[in-house]
Amino acid sequence: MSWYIDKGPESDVIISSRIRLARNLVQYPFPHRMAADQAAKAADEVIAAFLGDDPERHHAFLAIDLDTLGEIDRLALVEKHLVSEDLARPGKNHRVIISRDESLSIMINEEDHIRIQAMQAGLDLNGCYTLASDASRLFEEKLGVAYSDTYGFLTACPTNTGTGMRASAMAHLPGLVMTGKIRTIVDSLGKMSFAVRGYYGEGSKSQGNIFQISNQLTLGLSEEDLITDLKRILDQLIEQERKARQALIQTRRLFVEDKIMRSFGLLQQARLVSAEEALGLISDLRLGLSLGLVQGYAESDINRLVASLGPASIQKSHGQPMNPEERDAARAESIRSLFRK
Amino acid sequence: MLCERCHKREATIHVSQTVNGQTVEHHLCEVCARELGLETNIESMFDNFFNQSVFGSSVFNPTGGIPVFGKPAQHNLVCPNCGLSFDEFRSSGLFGCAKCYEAFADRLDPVFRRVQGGTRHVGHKLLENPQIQEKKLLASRVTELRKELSQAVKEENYEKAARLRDEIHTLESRESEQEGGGKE
Repeated sequence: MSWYIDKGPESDVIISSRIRLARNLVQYPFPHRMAADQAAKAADEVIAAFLGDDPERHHAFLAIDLDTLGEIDRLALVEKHLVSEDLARPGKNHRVIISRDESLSIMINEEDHIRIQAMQAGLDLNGCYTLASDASRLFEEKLGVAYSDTYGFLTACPTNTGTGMRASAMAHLPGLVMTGKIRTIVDSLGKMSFAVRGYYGEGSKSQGNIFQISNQLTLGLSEEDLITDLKRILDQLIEQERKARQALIQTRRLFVEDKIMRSFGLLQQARLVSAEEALGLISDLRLGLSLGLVQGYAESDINRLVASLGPASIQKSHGQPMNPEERDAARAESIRSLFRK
Repeated sequence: MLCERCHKREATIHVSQTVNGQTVEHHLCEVCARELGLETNIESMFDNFFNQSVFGSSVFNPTGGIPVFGKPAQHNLVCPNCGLSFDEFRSSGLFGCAKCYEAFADRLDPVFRRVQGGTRHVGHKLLENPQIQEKKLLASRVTELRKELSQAVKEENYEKAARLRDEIHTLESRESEQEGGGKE
């Protein structure tokens, strides 16, 4: 199964974990200063280094030239978090290598030549780091990776220099949102050099009470320390969220129950649902499951549903372009087919 | 009030300047203010005045009072590998290539202190020594060029062959240079 469908540790609060490592090739300018032929050549080298001649690796991984995909297919990869919005822009020799189980994706010619992303369900930063650093080691052995003893791994942007590592977790925090504590927590995380973003990463707002929390610093601390610090913060966050949920059920049971059951009703009956509304309703349902107010749905089924609800994913699964109303109808239908049971 | 400099035109620009704790007021006409390098546009006047006070040169400096910050040569720092200037780096926020880090090394500590806090890498080290890596790269490039060379000879493209031969020579001399000087 895929990381975004599995149920992982602490999955009542942490939906998924991710580690990203930025690496560059020493013999080429950084992507924003590369000519098209250099970019194509660099991409070929990266793919050849990673896949080699091993037929097993060629089977386990898929190398995709983003320029050969239509818009819907490119955006569907963004919705699955396998490529960034930036990488999905056409005409720039952007490529991606994706593992069959989609737990590893290697973006080529994004802001850096190589961006390794490893993803796991629930809270599993160490698992992600093992996956990502194994991939990095392969590049370090085979390619001239840009590195200095002083600054570590050299990246296009100084905010990534050093470890080149961004560790992050997607946290589902309806309790902290409903009790109004989220603002203070976001502010204090910011002061401790952790970034809090929305579901779709940089620049996006939170949808469905899901927040992405990541380290901001990459230089002057080791990978292990950065991961330990983030994990410590996430442990506190998990505890706070669980406390907030308990407080809600103890002090405002009827209100919470009403909110959850209304959303449950909409999920079972609605005929037109936008992607944003769907995430909100499903957030309520997840809360209901964790509080025992709703039963009988597996987290993995819900995760699979959420991964299929973006506008591009809906069109991809129907094999045709659709207008917004058609998409909302198709989305409502696939939601109903899970929750009517 | 007349301009204190030309004593002819009406003073429309009033500047207070604090030097060594003493505040002095200046009253100037637009023409004299411009000649002294004071902008008449309010925003740039503030910028200008702020910079000049901060960097210690008086607005009435007869040479024009361009603030000097660091060594003048550093203003034109350019990466010899990719041609990116330090100013371009500062405005875009992106390095041009890996060699920019060396080229701008003298000025990077403040940048990293601001965006990172830390200025030195303490994390995972590159698997291989960069010198070994560069040698490996050179070697693979030489092999590649040799293949192209024999192809060029086969095609009787002697102009290309000569160019390739020269390139191989250059790379090989770089290789032996590294072997000679690379030991600790």
